[in-house]
Amino acid sequence: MNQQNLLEIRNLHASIEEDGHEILKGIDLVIRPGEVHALMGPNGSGKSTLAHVLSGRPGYVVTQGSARFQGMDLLAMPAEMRAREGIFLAFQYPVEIPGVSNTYFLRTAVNTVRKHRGQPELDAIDFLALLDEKAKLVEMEETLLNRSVNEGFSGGEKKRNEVLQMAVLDPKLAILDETDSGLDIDALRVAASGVNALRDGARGMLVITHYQRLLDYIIPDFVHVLSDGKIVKSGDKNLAKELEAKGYSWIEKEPQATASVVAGAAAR
Amino acid sequence: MTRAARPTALHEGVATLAAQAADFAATRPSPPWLQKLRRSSLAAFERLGFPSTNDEEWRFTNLAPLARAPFSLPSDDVTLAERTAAFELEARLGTIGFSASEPRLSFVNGRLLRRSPGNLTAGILFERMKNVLATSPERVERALVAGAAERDHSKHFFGSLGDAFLDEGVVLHVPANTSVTEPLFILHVSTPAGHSEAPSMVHTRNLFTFEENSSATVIEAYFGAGAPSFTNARTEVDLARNARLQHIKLQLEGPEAFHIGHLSVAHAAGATSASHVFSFGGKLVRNEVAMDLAGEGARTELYGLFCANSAQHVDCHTLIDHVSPRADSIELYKGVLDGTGRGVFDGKIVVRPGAVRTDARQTNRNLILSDNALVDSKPQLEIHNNDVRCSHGSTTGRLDADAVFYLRSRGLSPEAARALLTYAFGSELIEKVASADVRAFLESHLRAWLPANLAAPENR
Repeated sequence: MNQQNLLEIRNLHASIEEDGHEILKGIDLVIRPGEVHALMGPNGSGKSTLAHVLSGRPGYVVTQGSARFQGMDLLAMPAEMRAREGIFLAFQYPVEIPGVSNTYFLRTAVNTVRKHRGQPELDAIDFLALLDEKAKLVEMEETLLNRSVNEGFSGGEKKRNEVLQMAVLDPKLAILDETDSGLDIDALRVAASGVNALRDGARGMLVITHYQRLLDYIIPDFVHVLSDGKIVKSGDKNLAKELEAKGYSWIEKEPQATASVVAGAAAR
Repeated sequence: MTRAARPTALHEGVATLAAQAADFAATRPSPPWLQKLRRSSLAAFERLGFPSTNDEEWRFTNLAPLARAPFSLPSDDVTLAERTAAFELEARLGTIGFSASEPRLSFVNGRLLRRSPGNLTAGILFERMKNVLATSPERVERALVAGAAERDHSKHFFGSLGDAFLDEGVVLHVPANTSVTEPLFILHVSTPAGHSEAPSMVHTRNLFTFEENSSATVIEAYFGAGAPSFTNARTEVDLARNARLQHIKLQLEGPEAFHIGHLSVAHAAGATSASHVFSFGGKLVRNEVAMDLAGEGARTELYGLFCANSAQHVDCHTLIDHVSPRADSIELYKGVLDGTGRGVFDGKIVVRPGAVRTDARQTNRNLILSDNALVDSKPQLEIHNNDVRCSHGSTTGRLDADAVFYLRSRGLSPEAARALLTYAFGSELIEKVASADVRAFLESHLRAWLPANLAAPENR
């Protein structure tokens, strides 16, 4: 085990708990501190499943392989411990929580994480100063901070709220699950610039996206293509551009001839 | 259960109560009308008997445990033990938001503990029933007699039972064009009397009259230290044209309490009321609210939060009667049930033929926290004309698993996540209360109520 690795995924297989359907069929991926990895792939290739499995969402069973985070057995940890240790998942579909103010929620989360890390909890004044600073990163209006978490937020506001939470919680590894989905170009630019502001040479990021568009704003160090539960190709940022030009079927044809038939059917 | 198999516990309970009521009446020298009222009420409750679960209004609430339990009327003198316990409970209130600067009448096991006049606006009568009956009974005679006569028709067992013991309570009269700024506080404390074998039984009767264009907020709080008790409380309110009432009921007598509470409000044209019920459980609790929208353009809002855990039972019954045109009603009741707790929401809205342009919205949402908790929800709309806007909805469910995971993914433990979500569910009702003091009190109480296996969220 290399202590330099932030995240080390080896031969990870995972199925849906309910029906046993295997989604991840042997993922290998290493993310070192400061690196930004983009994970691309067609619908149904397992991108979001990987994000869910790494964040500890119930409903999946890991049948083979391992995932280590800073040397720890990530898969043995409950979701909240992963968060406290520094993994952050920006949700594709952030959940609305009526009756819980955004500010209160964030302060509770921050102090839970700080407590776990042996840092003193922030009082209301210090927390609001921190929140104020981070809210500027994502151009978040104060009214949204006082409203219930995500309730009645637009798609763009929800995604910005995710990036805000990430900024406030200061994770070591951020997983962004299709942060670009449902965003117009302006909202995308705001969210991406918030993410870029959090690139500090130490924080690792896994940026999951279907489209190359997001990667015009968040320039990745590495690009991986996921197809049918496996990473079938890896490269630098130019791979994303190539994919955009040629489509996913190009990559699926390469490793094995049969894959294209399946993928073609899945893409209708 | 068949009609023939009516439990004997219900019968025996009535006989015991009738004997107690007869003894009680004999010790109270009173004007003839009052003696007659007590006598006829005794006869009425004897005839009616405890409602059984065959009675549609009591289908989900079995009164046998109440009928079986022995209760005694406390003697006239407040014992030292009662006084000490009551002051302790009252002091606890002071540390959680209530200033005691508001006009307050405090009772322990139904007898006056003390009165704090506060800064009561001149001309307002805020007095214990016993004093009014002794010094100026004519002020309440008509309303009390009329109330009893009406009840006889509506077959209200507990109303008649209360009138058979009619003696104490609170009389409030707000003159025309008068606004009472400070909330008026009626506090009842239940506590073991110290010498009596059987727990105390309290029948209390409140009578409020609001003249034209007057307004006031009344808080009725029922506290207990957790010992067995039986409280039968009835509040009747008459709102004249454009009068405004805010009524807040806090029911926190503890897990061993029996509590039957009834609030009814008659609205003249343009009168508005808001009723807030916060019920935190007991062995058997029934909260009734009946709103009579008799006047044109009247408006009422009904809010309720009821919580029950372990073996508690909380039943909330509401009735909104739209009699006249252009009256509005809004209703939101939420239940939180844990352990083997049982909740009932029965909300009826009647829209009479003449009540055109009625706008009535009713919502009941219940949150089930354990496999063995249960809630029965029975919303009912009876609409007798076409020119109305009415809606009702009822949902019962568990905490949203996606929301729990969302909070966990931010570092909260499953317990903290569930506590936060449960708190958020209930706090919607707390937000409806205008008084910041009451809100602060309820916030801390709801946090404290949260199931023991859930860590209470920290202070906001």
